[in-house]
Amino acid sequence: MRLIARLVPVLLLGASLAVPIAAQRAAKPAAGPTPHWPDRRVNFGPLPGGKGHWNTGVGNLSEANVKMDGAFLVDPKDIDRIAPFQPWAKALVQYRLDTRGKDDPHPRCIPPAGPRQFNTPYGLEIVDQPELKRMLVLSGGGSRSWRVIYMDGRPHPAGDDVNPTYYGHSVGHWEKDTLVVDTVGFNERFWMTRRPTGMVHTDMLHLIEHISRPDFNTLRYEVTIDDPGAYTRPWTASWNIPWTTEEVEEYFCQDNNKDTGQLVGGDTP
Amino acid sequence: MRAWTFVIALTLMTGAALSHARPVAAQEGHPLKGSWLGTWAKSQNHGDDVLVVLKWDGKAITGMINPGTDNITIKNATLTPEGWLVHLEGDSKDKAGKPITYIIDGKLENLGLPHRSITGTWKAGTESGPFKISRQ
Repeated sequence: MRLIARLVPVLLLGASLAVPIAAQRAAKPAAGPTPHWPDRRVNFGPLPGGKGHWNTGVGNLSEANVKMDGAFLVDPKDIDRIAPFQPWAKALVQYRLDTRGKDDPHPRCIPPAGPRQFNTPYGLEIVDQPELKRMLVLSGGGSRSWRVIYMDGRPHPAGDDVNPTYYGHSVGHWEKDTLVVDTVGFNERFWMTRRPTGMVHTDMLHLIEHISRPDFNTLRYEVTIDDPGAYTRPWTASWNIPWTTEEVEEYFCQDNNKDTGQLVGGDTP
Repeated sequence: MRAWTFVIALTLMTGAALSHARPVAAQEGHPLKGSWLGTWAKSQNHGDDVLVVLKWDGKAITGMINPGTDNITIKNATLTPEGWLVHLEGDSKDKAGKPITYIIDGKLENLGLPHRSITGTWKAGTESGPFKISRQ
């Protein structure tokens, strides 16, 4: 009886501490309108003094709304609804789906380039640097890399000045409250999305992204893929990414690779 | 005896390590694009080694066999996704200066690997032989 009497306060104290911690971790961000900077540009980040990031890991790069099981199609016939593939591209994606994405370069710490930057887990931040006339898209996942979007009106490089890279060359501008980003100059060393796995592209890839924040807790991502090397026509996919009030976890795939399951043919997380 | 055992073991280990080596960055676009190195033996007109450079412009596969002074421009190339069958054709001349057409038919193997390969046969006039190239 004495033991119970002693344990009850301890249990109550523990519960009183545990509940706030659990509640804090599960805290749902307060609803609110789209935040703006004083000059009326949309703020894609936290309010000044606040914290938070976009909780990536959701979203399928697919023209139609197909049913997915993680990185894979529930109905294999839906491959024709994902994108207008050229025959070789469809066969290659089918092979990659059939082999469970085991050859995906991403688990080997290749950057999550192209649309993959917006559905790779472990967070994303969009940092506005108006004084430098550029924006940065920071990836918390994979190799923890970033992309520069030039907002100063410069053109894409042309001819021999094109240096194909993972993230390519991005230029952006505002259309009312939507950030429109035009990107070319990709290399062919990565798979451009995690869901569905294996989506192919060529160095002819041209992306047009429309990024907006319809309310405080939602990032709307829409991307048009124009790649005459792999697809028969341009096509568009979109998804919403939720806001979280937590800071981006420090994670480097080179140090603590959480995707090793895929290296032996497991699911793409 | 121990030295030989050591050499054999070292050779086997090195071979095993190299066979599993994979460059960090592979070419993940069109499966034929790139430079390919290998052999096409049993010919009176050309050597056993062959270098093939292939390109993809979104509509057609183009390229060259053995770039250099005696290069062969590929005039017809196809990739059939069903079975990953490769067909290459190019015009050249034999040692007597008589025009010949090289016809290469093969199968793309190890599709998912950076060092994927094409294995098959080559034909030119009355000559033919095995053909195998691997992507570099």
